[in-house]
Amino acid sequence: MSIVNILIQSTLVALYLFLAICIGLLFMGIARKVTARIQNRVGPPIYQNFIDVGKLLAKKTNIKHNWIFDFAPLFALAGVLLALAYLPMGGYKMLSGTGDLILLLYIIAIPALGFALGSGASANPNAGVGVMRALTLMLSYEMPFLLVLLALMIFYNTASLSTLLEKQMSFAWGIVALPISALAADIALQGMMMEKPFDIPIAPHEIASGPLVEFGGKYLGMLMLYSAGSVVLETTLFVDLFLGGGVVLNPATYGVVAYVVNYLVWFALIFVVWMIAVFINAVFPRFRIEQAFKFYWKWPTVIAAIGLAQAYIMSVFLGVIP
Amino acid sequence: MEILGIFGIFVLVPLIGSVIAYLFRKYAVAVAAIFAAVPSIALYPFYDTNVSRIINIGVKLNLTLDPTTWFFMLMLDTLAFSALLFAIPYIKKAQGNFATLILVALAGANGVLMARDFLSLYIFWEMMSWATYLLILRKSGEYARRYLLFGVLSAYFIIMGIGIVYYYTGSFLYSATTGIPMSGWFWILLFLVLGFGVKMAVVPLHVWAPYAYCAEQPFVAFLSGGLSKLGTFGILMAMYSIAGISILQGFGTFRGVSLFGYPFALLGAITAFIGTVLAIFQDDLRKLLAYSSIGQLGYVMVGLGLGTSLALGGAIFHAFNHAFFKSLLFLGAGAVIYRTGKYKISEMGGLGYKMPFTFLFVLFAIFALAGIPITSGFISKWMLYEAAIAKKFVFIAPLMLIASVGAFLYCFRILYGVFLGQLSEEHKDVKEAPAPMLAAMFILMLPLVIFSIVPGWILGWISKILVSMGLKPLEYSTFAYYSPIGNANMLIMWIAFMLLFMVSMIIFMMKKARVVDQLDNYLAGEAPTQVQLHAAHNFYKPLKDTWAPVLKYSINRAYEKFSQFFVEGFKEIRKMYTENPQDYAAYMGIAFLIFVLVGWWLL
Repeated sequence: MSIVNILIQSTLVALYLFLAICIGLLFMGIARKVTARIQNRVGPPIYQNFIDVGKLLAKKTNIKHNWIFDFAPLFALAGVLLALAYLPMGGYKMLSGTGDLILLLYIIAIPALGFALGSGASANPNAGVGVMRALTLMLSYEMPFLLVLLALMIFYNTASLSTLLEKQMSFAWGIVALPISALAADIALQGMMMEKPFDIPIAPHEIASGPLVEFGGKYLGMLMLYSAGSVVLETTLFVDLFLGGGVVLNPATYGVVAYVVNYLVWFALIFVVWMIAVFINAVFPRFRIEQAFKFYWKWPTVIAAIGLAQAYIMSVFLGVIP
Repeated sequence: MEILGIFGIFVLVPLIGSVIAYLFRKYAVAVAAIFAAVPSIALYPFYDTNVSRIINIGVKLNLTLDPTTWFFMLMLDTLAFSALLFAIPYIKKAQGNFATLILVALAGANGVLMARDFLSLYIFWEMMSWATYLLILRKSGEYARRYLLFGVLSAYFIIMGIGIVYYYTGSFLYSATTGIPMSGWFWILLFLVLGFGVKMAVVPLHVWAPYAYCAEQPFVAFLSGGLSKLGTFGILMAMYSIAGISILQGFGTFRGVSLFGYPFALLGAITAFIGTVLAIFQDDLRKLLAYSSIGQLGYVMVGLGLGTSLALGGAIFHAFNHAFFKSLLFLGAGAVIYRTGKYKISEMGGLGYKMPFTFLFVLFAIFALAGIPITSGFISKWMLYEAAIAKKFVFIAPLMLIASVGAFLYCFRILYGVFLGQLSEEHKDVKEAPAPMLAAMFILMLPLVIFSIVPGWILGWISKILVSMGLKPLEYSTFAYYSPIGNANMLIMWIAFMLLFMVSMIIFMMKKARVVDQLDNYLAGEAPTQVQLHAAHNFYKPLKDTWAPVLKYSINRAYEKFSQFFVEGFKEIRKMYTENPQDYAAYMGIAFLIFVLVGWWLL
C-alpha cells in the first residue's frame, strides 16, 4: 500500500469518526426531544447538545483534583474513537479487517476503564458508588451479550466483523437467522447504553450522576463527546451484528453509490435501534442494581442460551454453513 | 557449551550463592540478588541452544537445555532477580534466612526445568517445595501447614505417576516410554496432571493458595508468578512431551481435542470462573490477588487441556504474561504494605497521589490482567478464546469470557480502593516506594509492553516449543497474529490509538485547569462543608447479597469439615485406651481372631 493510499484511507476514517460523533450528539438531542414529547413537555431543540458541548469546551474556569483525574477525558474520548474505528459503518470497513470482534470487545473496555479511573480519582463517594454500580451492571448485561456473541461466532464461523458483514450479505441477516439471540442482544443493549430501567450507575436523583459528579467544563464537554460516540458505537454494534451493518448494495459492484446508499440505510437502522431504547427509557422507572443483576442473569440469559442452542444445533447438527 | 557447565550456572551458582549470601547477614538479600542476576543474564546467549546428555550413575539421568526450558527459565530467573531486588529494603528480619531459601527455591526450580528424567525431577521438585514451605513458615505456621498438606499431596500424586512409569519401563527417563499400555498412560497422566495441578492451584486443589500468598510479598511474587509456572511446565511436559499428542489422541477425540484433555480444560474454565468470583469479594489485598491468581491459572489450564496449537500457544503465553503481571501486582501490593503497614483495601485509599510510580506500574499490570489490548495480556487471552470458539465449545468459552468481565470488577477494586478515592489523614505523609522496589517493578513491566507491540518475537519462541512437541506452528507475523476465525494487528492498533490519543490531547490542552483540594467536592446541597468518606468498604455489597446463597458453600470449609471429621473420629478411637488391662487383653484377643480369620481366608 502506497503512502498516498494510506493518507486517503486515514482521512476517510477521520471523516467517518467525525460524522459518528456528530450523529451521536444529534441522537442525544433527538432523544431529549422525543422523551419530552412522550412526557407531554416541550423539550429542548434537537441541536441542544451541540450547543452544550461547545459551551463546556469553551469554559474559562476548569477545575481538577489531581493528575489521575485527567485520565478520564483523555482515555474516554481516545478509546471510544478507537473502538468506532474498528466498527464497520455502512459497509465501510475502516480498521475492522485488521482486528476482530474479541479485539473490539476489549477496546470498548479502554474508555470505560479510563472514565472509571478519572472519576475514582475525584474522592467523591458518589463517584465510587457510581462506578461500582456501572461495573456490576457490566457484569450483568455481559452474560447474555457474550452468549449472543458466541452464538453469532459459532453460527457464522468467524470472529471478524468484516467477514460477518459479508456472510450476512450473502446468506441472511443475523436477525433472520438467529432471531432469539437478537432479542437477547437488544435487552442487553438497553443495559449497555445505560438507559432506563438500567440507568443505575448515573442515577441523577440518588447519587448525583455518579461517576460524572465531579466533572465540569472541558472535562464534562469531552465526556459528552465520549457518550455521543458510545451511542453510535453501541447501536452500530447491534446493527453490524444482526442487521447486516446496513449493507444493501454490494460495494464491489456498485462502487461509491453503494457506500452512500449503505451509509444512509445504516443511519436509518441505528436510528431505529436508538429509538427503541429511547422509548423504553421514556416510560420505565429505574431498577435497583441487585434487581438489574438478577434480571439479566435470569431471563435474557435464558433467552440467549436458547439462541446459542439454536445456533449450535443449526451449525453442528444440521450443518448450515453461511 | 557442555551441559554440566550449564547445570553449574543455573543450579549450582544459586545453590553456592545461598550459602555465601547467608554469611553476609545484613546484606544477605543484596548479595543474593547478585547471585540471582547471574543465571538470569547468562541465559540470553543460550537462546536457541539444544543440548542434552544422559548421565549414568547407576540409574540414567538426563539434563537438557532446549527452547522449552529456556523459555520457562527466562520467566523464573527474571522473577527471582526482581523479587530479590525488591526484597532489599522490604525484608527487615532474618535476611540471611530469606535470601538462602529464595536461592534454594530458584536452584530447585531451574533443576526441575532442566530435568528430563523423573528422579532428578523429583529431587529438585522437593527442594523447591521445601524451600517454599520454610518461606511460608516465616509468616505463619498455620498457613505453612496448609501449604504442606497440599504440597505432600502433590508429591504423592507425582510419585504414583513416576512409580507406574517405572513399573512399565524400568527407567526414569522421559524418553524411555515405549511399551506402556493405554490404561497405564491414563493413570500416569492423571496422577502427574493432578500432582502438578496442585502447584497451579486448580479448583478444588486451590485451598492452600490464599493462605500461602499471605506470606512476605517479594517471596509471594516469586511463588505466584514463578513457582506456580512449574506446575504449568510439568503438565506441559507430561501431556505433550512424555506422552505426546498421539497418545492423548488415543484416548478418543472430540472435534480434534483429546477426551483426556477436555475435562481438564473444563475444570480450568470452572477454576477461572470460581477464582474470579471469589476475588471480587475479598477485602484483603493479598487474598484478592491470590484468588485472581487462581482464576488466571485456570485460563492456562484451559489451554493445556485443549491442546491445539493455538490453545497451547495461548496457554504458554498466558503463563508468561501471568508470571510478569501477577508478580508486578504482588510487588505493588508489597510496596503499599511496606509504606502503610496495612493490607485491607478499605483502610487504604488515595495512595496513587503519593506513590505515582507504583500506581503507574500497578495500573499497567492491571491492564495486562484485564486484557486491555495495549498490553500483551490481551494477546494470550485472545488466543485462548479463539481456540475455544473455533472448536465451538459452548461451555468453556462463555465461562472464560464472563470470568474476564469479572476480572474488571476486582481490578477496579484494587485501583479504587488502594490508589484512588480519598487519601486519609494518617497517610498524608506516605512517601513513594524506595528505588530498588521501583526498579524491580519496572523490570517486570517491560515485557508486557514490548510483547504487546511486537508479539511476533515471543510467538516465535512459543512456536518453537510447539514444534518441538510435534504440534503445528502458530500463524503470526511480526505484528499480527491469526486464528482460524479471526486476526488482529497490534501495530495498526497502537498507531491508531496513539493518533486518536493525540486528538483528544489537543482538545484537552485547549484550556488550562486549576487544581483543587480532594475534599472540595460537590455534595448535592448537603449541609456539611466536606464529607470524609472513602467509599471502599464492602465495595460490591449489592452483588455480594445477590451471590450470598451460592457463596455460603465453600470448598475450603468442606476440607475443614472433612479434617474435623477425622479429628472427631480419632478422639473416639482414643477412648479405647481405658487403662483397664482386661480391655487391652480383649483387644488382643479380637485382633488375634481377626488375623486368624483373614489368614485362613487368604490361604
